[in-house]
Amino acid sequence: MTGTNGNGNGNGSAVVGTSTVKQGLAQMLKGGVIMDVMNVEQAKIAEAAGAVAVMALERIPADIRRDGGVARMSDPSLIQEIKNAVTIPVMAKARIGHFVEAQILEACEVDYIDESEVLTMADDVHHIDKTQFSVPFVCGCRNLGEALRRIAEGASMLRTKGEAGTGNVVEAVRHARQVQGDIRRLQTMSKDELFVAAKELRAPYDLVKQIAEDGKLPIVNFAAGGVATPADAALMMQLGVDGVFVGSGIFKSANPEARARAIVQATTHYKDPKVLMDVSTGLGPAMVGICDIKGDPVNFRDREGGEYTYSGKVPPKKELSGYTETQMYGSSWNN
Amino acid sequence: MSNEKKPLVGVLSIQGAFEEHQACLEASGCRTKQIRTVADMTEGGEALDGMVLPGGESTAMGLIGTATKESGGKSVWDALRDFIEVDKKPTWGTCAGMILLAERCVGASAVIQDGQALIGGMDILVCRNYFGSQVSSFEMATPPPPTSGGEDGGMASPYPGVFIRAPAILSAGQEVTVLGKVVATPCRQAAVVLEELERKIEKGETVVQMGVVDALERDGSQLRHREVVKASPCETGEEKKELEQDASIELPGAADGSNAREVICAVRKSNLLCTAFHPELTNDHRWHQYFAQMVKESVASA
Repeated sequence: MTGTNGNGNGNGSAVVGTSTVKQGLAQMLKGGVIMDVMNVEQAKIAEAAGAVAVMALERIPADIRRDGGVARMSDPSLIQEIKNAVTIPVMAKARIGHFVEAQILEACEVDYIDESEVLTMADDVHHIDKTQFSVPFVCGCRNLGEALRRIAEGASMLRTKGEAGTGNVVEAVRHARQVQGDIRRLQTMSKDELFVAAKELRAPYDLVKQIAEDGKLPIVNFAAGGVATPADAALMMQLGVDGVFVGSGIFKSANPEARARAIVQATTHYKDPKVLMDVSTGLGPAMVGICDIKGDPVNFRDREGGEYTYSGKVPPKKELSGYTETQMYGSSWNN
Repeated sequence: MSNEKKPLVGVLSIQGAFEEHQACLEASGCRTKQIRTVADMTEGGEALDGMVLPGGESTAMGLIGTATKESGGKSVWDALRDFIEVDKKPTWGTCAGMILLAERCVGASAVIQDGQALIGGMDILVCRNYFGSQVSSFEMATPPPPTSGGEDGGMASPYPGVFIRAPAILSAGQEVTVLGKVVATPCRQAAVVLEELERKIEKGETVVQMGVVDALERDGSQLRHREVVKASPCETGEEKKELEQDASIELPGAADGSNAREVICAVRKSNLLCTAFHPELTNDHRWHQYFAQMVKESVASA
């Protein structure tokens, strides 16, 4: 594709939408915090707090969980208003497989599209062919296989899925550790074992081979889905992610400005407990959140094209079997 | 070459593509160190020989870099000003890093209290996000770094410039050497900023910093700008005067009757180097070698 911007000098013409450029923006966001915002006011708070980008949404994940209904792409006017109000990159979400929503978002000139499991799936078999777009995509992953499937489809950036809107970091931790564990396992394998590994990961062999050689993902991987405190952000950074998405955690808390600033500081100084102590102090209540993720009827994280067991249905509430932890080990309240 | 001889280059690691810079610098014969705080700059007793400010989000870097005051009330921004202006150590800013080194910046965020927190030092006027949103980010052949070493003929081939939501230099001071230019149309937002800037220059006003137009705060048909005056503690009255005398800047005009303007993408002024594009995202290390040479010359002359 040639430049649409009229760029060009004697040395050659500009080329837009290359993978270097698409993946490059994600590299520029590293070590930063991307915040979900629902209006111009929140976008301004996010920019003034030091966010590296904002995600423009009509409803943040916590509200989508609570209210249900079909969650879709935001109104372009909302995205345009936010784009006009801030100078940092503006991202927006499209439904999984909904390539027309993606085309609309590209026409809006958003800086990144999140093909997101938080929105209702538009296609429960296929994801968007992201190679067809000049605008880059970020996609969620729970494990290395899922990550590589998204890369093969043309994703320029990854994030853990976590479980959005819960304020509970446990799933994000699980997914970050799973991806890294999978990479380490590949590195220990001999060359002939990689063929079967690719089959088991259900990922393209070439990418599997590349990961085994490099020992790292070829594109940037952020944490997302449940980050609610500066400590959560630093935890994810110490677990080796490149940056942090904070969705409901900021604007569902008591003091969004202070919390946003604190999470930004914690993401930069994630290795310095002294700074983390300072920024964690006096932030007021965090979002309430959901503790029993497995028992919650909403399950964003298992939504993947061709993978989702409960496509089109509400997953059944899991039955408890056997003893609970409290029954087995007792409660600290009884001691 | 023994490890002792390799110069030590700090890479500002608040946010952005600092790891990529480290890899390129290490491939170009330097040792590197991540710098997040004032303490990081002196820790270990070894002084830094040079500093790189990477690409990233200049607003975020500015806010984080000035937020934390360490012992003596100094932020890492103050320490970097000393590093550049007092110690005269080689410092290179790419993309967002270039904005930080600029003396003047338009297209800054309109919502941040004091606007873009600049470190300054390089007498240039930059326009943030000149080329537009991510779909307009591009790769283009740019002039290669000057052949100071003169190694081989291949040095003259164009350099693959990667521009990602990049800033552009609109004008450079007398003492600044221009190392590269590109012709490009400003994006919608940048075009409005430039229009306003030209109006101000015509009226003889000095613009040190100007925010983007907040389209939502349109006052009737009038565009309302929120301007920010740079509140830099290290700026003395004398320096301010110097800037004012310099007010007769000329903006690059349309090159061929279209809206395209010839803007600057690489400059050097003694110990400072700025590039609007991202050499850290390519496998071509010529700009890193050029900077490594600057650092080595500075070490040798010290």
